[in-house]
Formats: sequence, structure tokens, C-alpha cells
Amino acid sequence: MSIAPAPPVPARRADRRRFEWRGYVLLSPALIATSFVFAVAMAILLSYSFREFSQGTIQSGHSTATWRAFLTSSFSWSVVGTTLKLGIVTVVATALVGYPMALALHRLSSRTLRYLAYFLIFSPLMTSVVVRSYGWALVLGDGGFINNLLLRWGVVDLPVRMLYEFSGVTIGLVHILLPFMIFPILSSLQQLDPMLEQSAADLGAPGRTIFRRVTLPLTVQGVIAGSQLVFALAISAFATPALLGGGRVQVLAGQIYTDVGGLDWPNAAVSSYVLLVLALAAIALFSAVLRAQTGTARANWEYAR
Amino acid sequence: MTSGRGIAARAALSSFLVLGLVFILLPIAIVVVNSFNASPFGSWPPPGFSTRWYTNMFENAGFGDPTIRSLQVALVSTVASLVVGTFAALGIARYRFFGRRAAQGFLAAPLIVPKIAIGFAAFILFLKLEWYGDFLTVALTHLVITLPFVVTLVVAGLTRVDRTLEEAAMDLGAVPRQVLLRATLPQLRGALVVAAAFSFIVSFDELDASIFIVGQQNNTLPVAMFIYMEKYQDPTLAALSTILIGASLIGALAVAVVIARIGGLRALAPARETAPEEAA
Repeated sequence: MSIAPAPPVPARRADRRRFEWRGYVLLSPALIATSFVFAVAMAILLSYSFREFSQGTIQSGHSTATWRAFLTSSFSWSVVGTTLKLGIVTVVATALVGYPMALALHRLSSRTLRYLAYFLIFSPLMTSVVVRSYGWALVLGDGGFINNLLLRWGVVDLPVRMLYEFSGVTIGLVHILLPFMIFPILSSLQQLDPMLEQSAADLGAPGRTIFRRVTLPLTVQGVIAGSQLVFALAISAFATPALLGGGRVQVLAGQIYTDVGGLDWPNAAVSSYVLLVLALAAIALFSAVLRAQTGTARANWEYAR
Repeated sequence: MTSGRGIAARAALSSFLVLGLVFILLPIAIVVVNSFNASPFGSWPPPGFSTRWYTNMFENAGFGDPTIRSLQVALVSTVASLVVGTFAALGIARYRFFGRRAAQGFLAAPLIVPKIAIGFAAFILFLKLEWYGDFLTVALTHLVITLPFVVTLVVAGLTRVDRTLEEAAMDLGAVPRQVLLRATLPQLRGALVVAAAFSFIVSFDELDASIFIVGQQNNTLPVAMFIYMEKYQDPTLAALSTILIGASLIGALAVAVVIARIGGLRALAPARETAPEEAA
């Protein structure tokens, strides 16, 4: 799931000239499995995107008809729009919720409490997405937990519709993806030299200024890395939009599922590749931002010296 | 930072953490309570309590076979992923050869591709090969999905392995297989345990790719639950979920204990041989 940083690789140049057969032998089972189930299958999928579905069957022969139909249909674009909106809103919400949580976690002085909080944050990752979506359906439904409280306290007269709405899907996704935002932020906080914050305090900077000028700029990389992960996972999410959107929140992943069920494989193949291109573009974009940010941070550091 | 304002800011931050934890735990707690809800519509607050959903789950709902199948798939794919992934990691970390970085990138590629696309692509492939519906196709797909995690964790673990122990073994006349089994793998224990736990959970909970490839009569548990939830809303699913939550809590505790014993999460990160560039 993660776009984990590659481990340090020494002596890269030496790779070019060597043909160490033992390396190839060790890698071959993994390469064969991945080539077969992933690469060959994805290539077949690509070829299906150049077929056409009409009169209830997939026509023989290749054409760009399905691609053209997808790219000129306003429905397709609205699905792409909803998918991207879901990705963006989820990233913003997880960052706004995740950053203060990570900061609070980092500053907890009690070791026991810190481990307990870690455990509570990361153990839901082990619970199935279906279970957690089901939980949110119970919490957000018209007769659910939240509406029951709101009605009883007289905050609203009618139940607030959240289940089977965009808002419900977003809440469910934020819940599922929050750990993927907290973890990178936490590790950037751990790499932050506490002396920097201490020096700023010694020089008389108030807490808010220290946060704005020292802590946040030096940990924004964690936010970008977390956003990259959360965005890529949010736009590809299938179960949560399907279960909490109830057919009213149409995203690409759900569209693929519906089309496969309706035997329109060519259109499902096009949607799959559109989703893949969106994920790749987003990952490239966030990586570029991360590089630019690292460059700026280093330049500032050099300048300050 | 001991000013009144600092204390207020700290209190605000701590309350935010508590609220965040409530948010994380709320749906899970509601599921557990709802599994004892007497109302078949899961109405809230529960009009009464009953254990009939547990009875229903065990007797009628048909989750037994999918549970066994999911456990089998997770077991087979985890063992395969550990073996294949450890070999691949050894190849990547220990040898220098043409195409090594490309191979490493290629093995990580399934991470970036949406799982639903991987599942749909694999479904077409298995149909064409007439393997569709076979138990092993699901395990094979899960192997490919979990390999990137295993390779990454074991490559990182290998950077922490003390090579002098391997050299000592060789000097004492151990053959390469003995060096691997007696000197290398014991040092990789932590990485292997975490990789195994990770693979098992990913496989056991996998829905997006599996939903296409399992075949109609051979649902895995997440697929069976997904289909059940699309059809019914009664608390049978809550009863099953409660049992799964209990199992995952035990699993999470076990993994936490293992991580603590191998020296915290940092022990899983790759060792740094040189200081970070910023420190230069």
C-alpha cells in the first residue's frame, strides 16, 4: 500500500556491468508470479479496452470506440469528478484530523499512554473494511447513533442524511485511511531535532510561532507523503463507496464492478486504466511536490548557515 | 513553554487526540453493541438485547465455508509470499546485477495499481486459462499483492543483519544453505514475523481484487460479508464482525508484543550506513 522509500542501495553503478546469475535465480519466482498474474493480466486488460461492447456481447476486432465513448460521455466525467473530489476531500480531512493527533501523540510524555494510543490508532487496520463500513452505516443511518443523539438533544427536527450520501462515504474513508496519514507525520515528527524547537523557545518565540516557523515547515514532508498514500487509496477505494454510498455516490471503482457484472468488460477495462492513470498522475505530482519541498528546505538550511 | 497559554495549547491538543480516538473506536464499539440488538433492523438505541444473531450466524448465514476458505487462502499465500519474497529480497540486497533496480520496482508495481483493476485483470486471465474458480488462483493473486510488503520488509531487515556471523559460519565450513538457515534467517526473525502477520491480514481481509476471482460458489469471507451487507441489514453481520474484531484484537496484541520484543518499530526500518545528507 505504501510508496515506501527505496532502501539505500550502495554501488549503483556496479549493477550495469555485472550479470550475477545467483541474483536472477533468487528473484525469478517473484518475477514470474508478478509477471504472470499482474503484468500479463494487465496487458490483456489493456487489449480489452480496445474492444467494443454492443448488442449484449463483446465484439471481435479492435477499435478505439470504447475509449472515445468514455471520454465524450458526461456521465463518465461526472464519475471521474466524484472520484477525484472524494480523493481531495479525504486527503484534506485526514490531514486536518491526523496532524494534531500525530502531534499530540508525539508530545505525550507517558510511555504507556503513547503505546496505548498507538495501539488504538493502528489496530483498526486489522479489522476488515466491510466491518468498519458496516459500523459507519449503523452510526450514520437515519435511525442511527448520531441522528438519535441529535434528535434527542433537539439539535435537529429531522434526521440528517449522511448514509448513502457523499458525506457518509467521506467519513467512512477518513476513518479507514487516517492511520496512513498519521504514520508518515509521526515519523517526520520523530526525525525533527527537538533542539530546534527548544532554541526557538529560548530565543523567546511564543508557542504558536514555534509551530508555524519551525515544527510545521520541518514536518510538512510527512503531510505530503501521507497525502500521497491517502489520495491514491481513496480514489481506488471500492467497498466503502459501494456500501456507504448505496449507489448514489458513483466512483470509478464501483463503475468497474457494475460494468463487469453487466458483461461490459471493455468499458470496465477503460475505467480501470483511467483509474490507474489518475493514481499514477497523483503519485507523480505528490512526489514532485515532495522533491521541491525538500529542495526548498535544504536551500533554507544552507542559507541559514 | 510552561506559560498559561502553553498549558492551554497542550490541553487542547490532548483533548483533540482523545476525540480522534473516539472517532476511531466509535463504529467498532457500535458494531459490538449492535450484535446483541434484539431489533432485526439494528434500530438505535436497542429496544432489547438478545444473542439470536450469534445463533443465526452459526446456523443459517452460511459464513462457515467462506471463513475456512479465507483462512486457507491466507495461510497458503502467506507462506508462499514469505518464501518467494525472502528469496527475492536476498537477490536484491546481496547481489549486484543488471536490471536489479528495475526488478525491484517491478515487484512493487502492484502497490500502485488499484486492486479492483488487478482483480478484474486476473479474472479475465484465469477465465481464459480455464482456471477460474480454483482455490489456488485466489492464493496466487494474494501472493502477488502481498509480495511488495514482504520484499520491502525483508530487504530492510537484511541491512541490519550482521555479516560477520555469516562469514564466521562459512569459515567454519558451513555450506550456503546452512549459512542461510542458521546465520541469516535467525537474524531476520523480526522482519519475517511482521511480514507474515502483514501478509496474513492483507490476504484475510482482501476484498477489492478477490470479489472478481473467487467464483460464485467459493466466496472468501470478505466477499461473503460484502454480498450479505448489500442484501440484508440485520445484526447477523454485527455478530460476525464482533468475533472478527475480537480475533483481530488478539492478533494486534500479539504483533505489538513481537514488535516490542524486537526493539520497536525502528528495528524494521533499514539501517543507515551513512549519516543523512542533512547532517553533512
